[in-house]
Amino acid sequence: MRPPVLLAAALLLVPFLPRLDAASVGVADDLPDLVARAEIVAEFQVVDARPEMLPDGSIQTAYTFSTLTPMKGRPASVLEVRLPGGEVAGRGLLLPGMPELRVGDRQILFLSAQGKEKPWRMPIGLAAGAWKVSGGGGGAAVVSRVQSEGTDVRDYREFVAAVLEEVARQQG
Amino acid sequence: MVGSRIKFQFQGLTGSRNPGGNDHVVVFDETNFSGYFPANSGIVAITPIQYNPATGAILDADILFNGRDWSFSTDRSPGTFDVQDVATHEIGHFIGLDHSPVVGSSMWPYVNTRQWLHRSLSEDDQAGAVAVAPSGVDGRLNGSLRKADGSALKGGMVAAVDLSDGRLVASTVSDKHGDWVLRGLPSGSYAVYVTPIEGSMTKANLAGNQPIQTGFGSSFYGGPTSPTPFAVSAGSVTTTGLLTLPPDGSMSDNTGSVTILNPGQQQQVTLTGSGFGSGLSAWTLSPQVSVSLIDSGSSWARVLFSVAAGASYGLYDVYLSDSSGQLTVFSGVLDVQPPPPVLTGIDPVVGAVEGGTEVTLSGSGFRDGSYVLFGGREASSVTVAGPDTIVAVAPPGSAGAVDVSVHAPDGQQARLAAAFTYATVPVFSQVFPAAGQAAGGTTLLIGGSGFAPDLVVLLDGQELATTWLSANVVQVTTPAHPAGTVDLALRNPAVPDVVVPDAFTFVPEPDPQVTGFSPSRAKDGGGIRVRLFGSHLDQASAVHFGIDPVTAQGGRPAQALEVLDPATLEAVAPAWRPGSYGIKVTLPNGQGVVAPATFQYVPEAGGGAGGCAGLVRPGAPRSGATDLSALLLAGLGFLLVRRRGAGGAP
Repeated sequence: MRPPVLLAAALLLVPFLPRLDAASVGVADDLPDLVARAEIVAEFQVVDARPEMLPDGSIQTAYTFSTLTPMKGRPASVLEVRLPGGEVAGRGLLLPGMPELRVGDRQILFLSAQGKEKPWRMPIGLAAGAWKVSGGGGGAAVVSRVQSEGTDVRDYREFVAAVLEEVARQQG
Repeated sequence: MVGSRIKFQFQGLTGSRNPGGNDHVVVFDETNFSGYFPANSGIVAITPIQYNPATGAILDADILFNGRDWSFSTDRSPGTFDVQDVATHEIGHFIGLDHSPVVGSSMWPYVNTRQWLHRSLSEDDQAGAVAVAPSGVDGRLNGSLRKADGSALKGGMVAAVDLSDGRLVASTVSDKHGDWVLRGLPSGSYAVYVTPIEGSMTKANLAGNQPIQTGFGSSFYGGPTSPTPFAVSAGSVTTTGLLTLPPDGSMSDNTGSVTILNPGQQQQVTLTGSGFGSGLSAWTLSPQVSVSLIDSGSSWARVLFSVAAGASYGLYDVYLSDSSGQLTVFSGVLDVQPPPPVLTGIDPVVGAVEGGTEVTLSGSGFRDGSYVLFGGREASSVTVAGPDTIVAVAPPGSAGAVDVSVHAPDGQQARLAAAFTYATVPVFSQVFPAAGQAAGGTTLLIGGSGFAPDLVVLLDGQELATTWLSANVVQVTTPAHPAGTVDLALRNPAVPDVVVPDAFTFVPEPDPQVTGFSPSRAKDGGGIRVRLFGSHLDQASAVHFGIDPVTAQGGRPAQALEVLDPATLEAVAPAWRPGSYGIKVTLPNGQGVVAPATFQYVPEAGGGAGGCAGLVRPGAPRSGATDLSALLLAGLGFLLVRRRGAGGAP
């Protein structure tokens, strides 16, 4: 794949957590790992996104999330999360694989602890830890994400129930 | 890199690790100083690229390995990621390449710990590098895509297949106008197909999540069964024209792994996807690589890959269609590679730590351009003499055994564990005695360091049976030799001989012999008279007590020496540390002998130097408390004395 413009950034992903090598049936096979690694798990709505340049020249985007369904880690009702990437002051920073978070999106995010060196929380496994919620209203809601085997689509209600059950199981 | 101006040159190490600066660094981030690897992030490596949004020009790029959460190796150790595999992928990003939907390419977005495939570049990767920075005039194909409704098709994957051998050579995506250009193509005749980016590779794998369209069916220019051949030559721009893609169908591929085969091999593989209809057929465009359908379901197709013996190395697509004419493409899922190298032996197995040892490696599958590593260090030179022989010159190394590995240009490797031992050059320090009878039979103790277990001693160029006692001492027995001074040489395997000029003298006189002595022990304060018995002792000029019986070194001369007759000496033992030691007799001409038994030094009664017992007040009442104090103090005194003794002569 060669975009005509040199507009590339990069990362290399583990085809996330080895369990994904197995066929996925029902809930995501890697759900226990996602839950275990994440400090915060919740369904959020993206309310705002503000790109910022840090003193060292790196670029981040400060997202404001409205917490719709907290599942792990007691996220605030309005949570600010910073992720690397964005465009500001004539410079851009790209990280392919980083899930696309657009204002208005609903996402179930499995977020890492906030880094100490940079105030960033990363979705666990980047795309693996970001499930976009779509549908609802007149149709059944689903969650979907991108992973090595392709786009993974699940029933929204079943997925949330499975996450909550896994959180409860891990927290004893 | 053929056809591209891009080249890499090792410029050394840098102390800089600032991924935000203008220098471009490769860093193993083990503390998350970069911030990109918060705990449990699941990211193996990342190449953040800062760019000018107006022009797309890259302003800064760095490569960061997540050394905090993952381990990396160069020898495919279990549970580790291969450094070269990951680095090759990240370097692709560094030069401006995006991820590729070609499964076997280095720019495929996923990695696992068992993988090394991305070490080498596929044709698709090479074409990308040429496209980014061509070194000359490159061949190009261009065209334009439309959806069935006539609108421009944005984000379709376009790939060129070399019709001479059926290999996938390059891929790209169409722009928002539906236009596409494939650059960096070698001269040849190509088929061109278009397929949606879906399944394992999606838009999320593309930089900036650029929107792409997937609602269309796959097709070839000219159709799946008889693709139009497009000729490309250096400097040519061949226009393929407009291609209207069929409407989206139910078939799609979802196979995210590559099958690696060697020429002449066959393997059954299950291709996965969805919407596979009835009447499936599978094929390639290669005359050398075939695929036959065995059976199938709606989401899988079991096929047999067969690779002819003379098949070209590279990536091959598999095309699957059903009776309705739907086509799905498994891009680059078959990687035909040369057989891996096999390393069966090396000769010699020992070389100098300074390097320079010429080593012949035996095995099979050796190819030009192979690397040879000794303990992870690249050989000084490598000559591939044939598919079963490589001659390599070992680089400098550290003493000890190291792995030897052969690395084929495509990253395949063979390794022999601990196959080569770096040996040191021996260092000579002394020989005892320095002279011996011309009749031979003198036992020599040679001291030094770096003595290999198979070190050989040469006297006047004659190899002697050598008994290795330690890395510091060897023992030999002299042969008969005319009187005169000769060189002594030490020969460690694979290193030059160490020659000590005039190290030993053959003399006409018979060697002194000591058969026994009496008494055999003394107090550590010495002073006792010891008689030594033997023969040819009348010329003795010195007797040493307290020597190391193995090396004949150390000790102290007797306080007095008297020759009673040729068979008897009387020497006064000097003071020495308690223990078991040897006695040696030397003559002025360098002859000498070590007595066959050891002489014991024992502590003076009362412990240590004898003064400590005096801490107990003579005649004092021996209450329990006093006894205890005395014992403690006496013990302390003894320890002090012993410590002094251990530091040198008492």
